[in-house]
Amino acid sequence: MKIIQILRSRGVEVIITENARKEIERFRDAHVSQALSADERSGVIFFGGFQDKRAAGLAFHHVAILKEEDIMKDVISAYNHAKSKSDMIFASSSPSKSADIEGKLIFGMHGPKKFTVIVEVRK
Amino acid sequence: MNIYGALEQGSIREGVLRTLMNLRDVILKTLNDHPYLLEYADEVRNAKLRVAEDFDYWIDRSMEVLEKRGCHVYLAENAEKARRIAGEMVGSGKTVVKAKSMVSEEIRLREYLQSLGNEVWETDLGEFIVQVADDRPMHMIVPALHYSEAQVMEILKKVGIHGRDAEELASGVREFMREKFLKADVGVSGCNAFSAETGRVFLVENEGNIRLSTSLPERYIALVSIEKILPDDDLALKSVFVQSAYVGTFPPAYININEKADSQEMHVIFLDNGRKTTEFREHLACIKCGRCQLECPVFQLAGSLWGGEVYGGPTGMVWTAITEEIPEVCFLSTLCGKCREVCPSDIDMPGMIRKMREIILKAR
Amino acid sequence: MIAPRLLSEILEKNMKKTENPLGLKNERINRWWTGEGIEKDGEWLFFTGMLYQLIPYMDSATRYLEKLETTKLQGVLTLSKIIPVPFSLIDSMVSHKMKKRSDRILKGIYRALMKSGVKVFYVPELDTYSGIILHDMGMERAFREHAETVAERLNDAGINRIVTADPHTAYALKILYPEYTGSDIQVKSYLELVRPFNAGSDGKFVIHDPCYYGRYLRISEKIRKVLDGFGVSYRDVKYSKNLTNCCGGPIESISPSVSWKIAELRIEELGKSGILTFCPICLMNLSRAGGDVSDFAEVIMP
Ligand code: SF4
Repeated sequence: MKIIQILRSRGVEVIITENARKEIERFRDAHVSQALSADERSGVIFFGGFQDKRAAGLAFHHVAILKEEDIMKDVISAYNHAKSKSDMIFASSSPSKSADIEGKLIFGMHGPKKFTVIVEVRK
Repeated sequence: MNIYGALEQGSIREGVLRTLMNLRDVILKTLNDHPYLLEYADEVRNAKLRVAEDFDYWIDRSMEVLEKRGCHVYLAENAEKARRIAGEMVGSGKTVVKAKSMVSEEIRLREYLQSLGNEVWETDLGEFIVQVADDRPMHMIVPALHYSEAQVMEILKKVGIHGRDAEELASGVREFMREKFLKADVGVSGCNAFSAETGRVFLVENEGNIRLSTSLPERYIALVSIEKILPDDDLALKSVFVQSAYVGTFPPAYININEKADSQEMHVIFLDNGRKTTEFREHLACIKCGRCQLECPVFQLAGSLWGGEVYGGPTGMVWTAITEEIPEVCFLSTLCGKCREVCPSDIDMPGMIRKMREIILKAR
Repeated sequence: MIAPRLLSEILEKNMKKTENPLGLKNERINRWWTGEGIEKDGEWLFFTGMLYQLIPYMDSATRYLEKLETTKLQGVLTLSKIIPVPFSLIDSMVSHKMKKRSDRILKGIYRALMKSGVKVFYVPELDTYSGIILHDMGMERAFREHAETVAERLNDAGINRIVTADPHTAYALKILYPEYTGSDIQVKSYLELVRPFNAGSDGKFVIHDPCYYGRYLRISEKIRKVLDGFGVSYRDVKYSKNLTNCCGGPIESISPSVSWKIAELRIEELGKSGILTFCPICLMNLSRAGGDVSDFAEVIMP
């Protein structure tokens, strides 16, 4: 899956598993969201719901559970797939970052410093 | 400071060139790896020009959709009206958190809300630095590019934020701003793209400040200049994708697709301010990625000081002509054509700058 | 910045008087062809557009304007409508060496065309400035009038093919004239017509693409082929071809100081030595900023 390399290259922790529930145990302090879909090409991951959006924005560590079958071939399909399941769609693709001070890249500007994606593959 | 001051100073030049070096190869690589973005760019340009041909229709449609969804909607013909509407929504004695927005600069929103007795914070790191320094954004997307790390260190001391390097300063700002986010009464944002189909406001970012500014406060005001209107969600999404690619931060860390939430009051102010009747209509296809600014030789020397009061550089020449008046400094363009060459919307800025010159000389 | 209105008035007056922006008589500055044994008839009319000839004078005018740019005097002059550029003075300031160099470049281009087997001919009376600066300044009416005059003259002389020496004139004649005057004369840059011959060029060059060739006319790849054909060794910088960076030249009269800084920026990327270009304005401006610049015609000079 191309999306895995893409996410990793950008500082996202990716875990591949057949059982996401088991993995979540390790992230008690993080905010965990169920991803609605993802764009294979860009690694953008869609979520939904106002409360989840706030919590995901405030968290220091955001964890997404992404099902393999929700990975779409492009961003438009991914967005429409997400829209069919929820309202208030939002998307993340990396930890929060900024390069506003002399172009120096720092992570965890206002949002999560850490972003983990658990990809749940079919058994 | 005028353009001659900028030439002497040198720090603008350093900042622009540094930013260009950091971003130019990334942009080219993105476009190479994601060739479909060029198609998106074309589609977005065409859609924007189509909307610009019949603004009245699209504005009506947008306002209707928003009202149906329970939003408060306004149409402001000019900057002053937009300011006043926002001022009424906010009132006084409030804490306001703002996402960076050139359109809010255009209507001087921060200054106005402050004058009403509100505490107003720019939450984007670069824009926050500019606010504390009491300066103007030097670039559309990277507003504080003309400051060195050491200068930022000095500037932030004014608000009690200390740190020895970018990392520490940023975490100081995070802490400082977290408190504001949590107590904010009102959140204000601009809009990168608006869907007339569903009334959704699309905003991209990397820091996470927009997500917090627009979802935590109970009252949310979105400022939408009318050229941001696109027929549907898909085009709006394509537009923000293209924008982030041409900024050099693809994909955006965050895409916010804001809409009315049950627990939040949402106000949308549409701003015309010269757009509907401008003779520079082609420029309404500008997605404000700022790439033409970094690539322009005059901008490389003078930053946004080459421009009007708010907008600078090649795109800023035209935005100034649309929203203020034709800037006489348009005569400093070399018409080298680089802006058009790198523009995702293939906008003929040199042609429009010639037109501006013609208008200025005719007025003699 | 020199007040645009002031500059436009100067330009308009000069153009009316002499058909060129500096108010210098064409017969006086256009001497390159004397003793060259030019053909009076043929297939392709060589049309220099006077830009190479004007460069030495522009260089002195710019030095003068640079002093004027930041003084208060300008405002006074604008009001009093006195033309502040003493052209007689400029004439006396012009470097003889530069004049010779411009002439040599034009001879080089002409000879290269001849040597390539192009049936080129030259009629000094038909050659004049294209008016491009009027277009750039937004002086639409003045440009149209000038273009019409020139196009008519060429038509009356039965000209149907033109070969140009510089990118600005090429763009004016090839793209703007048809649009403004309906002229249907076929226009090509000499770089599109020359065939490689043994020029015995040596040296290593870094290419500076003129904006008008790189973007407006898009012939950078063709130029590379010509260079390869001539065996000229060259390298490209990152900002080349359609992404080439400006030399600053086009604003030399409105703001000599900004123009000069832009040239410096460009030199930072190119390096100072062995710059190869194809445009008199680039040649002048990059040289002014300390570059060691050669025109292509000098490199292949037959
Ligand atoms: S004019 Fe083009 S390159 Fe410049 S900011 Fe607008 S979209 Fe970007």
